[in-house]
Amino acid sequence: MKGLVVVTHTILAEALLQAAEMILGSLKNAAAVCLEKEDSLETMNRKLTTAIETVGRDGDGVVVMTDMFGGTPSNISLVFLAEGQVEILTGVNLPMILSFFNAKPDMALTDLATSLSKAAKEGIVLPSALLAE
Amino acid sequence: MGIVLTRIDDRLIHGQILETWVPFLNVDCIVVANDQIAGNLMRRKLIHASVPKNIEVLFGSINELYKIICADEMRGRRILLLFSSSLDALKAFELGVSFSEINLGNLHGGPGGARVTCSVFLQQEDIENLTCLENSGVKISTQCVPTDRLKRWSELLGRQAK
Repeated sequence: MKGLVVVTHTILAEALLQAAEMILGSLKNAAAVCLEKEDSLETMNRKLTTAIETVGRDGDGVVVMTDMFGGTPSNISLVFLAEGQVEILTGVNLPMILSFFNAKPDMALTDLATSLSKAAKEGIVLPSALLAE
Repeated sequence: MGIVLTRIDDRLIHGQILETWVPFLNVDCIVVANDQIAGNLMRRKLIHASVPKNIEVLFGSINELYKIICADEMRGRRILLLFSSSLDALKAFELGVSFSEINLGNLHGGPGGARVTCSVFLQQEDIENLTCLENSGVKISTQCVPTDRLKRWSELLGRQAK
């Protein structure tokens, strides 16, 4: 089973997983990494390494979702990028997380990441523009 | 040359830089002075990709920095100069890179550092390097983001001694 790590500035990651749980019920193989102001880069790396190892113990690959490209959660995640084993997606939102859990389990990790990126973008809707069509 | 902010931040370019300092100071060029990153194409590419296209990003080792900052094409630019450690800042200053102030952003060091703000922890070595800079006329202060209250070196040292 693939694993999911959500890593963000402070408690957003935890809250996003709670929101996903409210919709889907209890989540398996998912971990939140909340980076705090006081954390050193070593502490952050340790938190992230532990999370990736924990959710990745099945060896089926891990998706790491970060809150913003260019931000620290994203910057420290990028070193874990490994084809077929760890994919990084930036700009996490709830549709991205829900799509991870609703994806077919046998999907290749790279294909999964591509479809999650699409789902996340499609989750951003401007209703006033829809109505104007 | 137009350095509008010199900052020591062990995270170098990250959210606080891109979302607050760059727009606040109207920065149009970020110079990352770091030996490891200057020699690592992969990291340079990733950092480049994370910065908006209208901001130029230059990388250089501490030894190359003077040449980069003083180049003709840098005249009139609004430069944000980033170091990841107090030692790099001191070395650059001694090599002739001139800045009048240093902002301490995120400095965590190893275990045993003295906490001066929630994101700045100083090792003995940092205190020595920064004191040396302060004594050379460089004003040292902490301010994580522009809306934080600026704290001067004297205030920080007082806090650290307690």
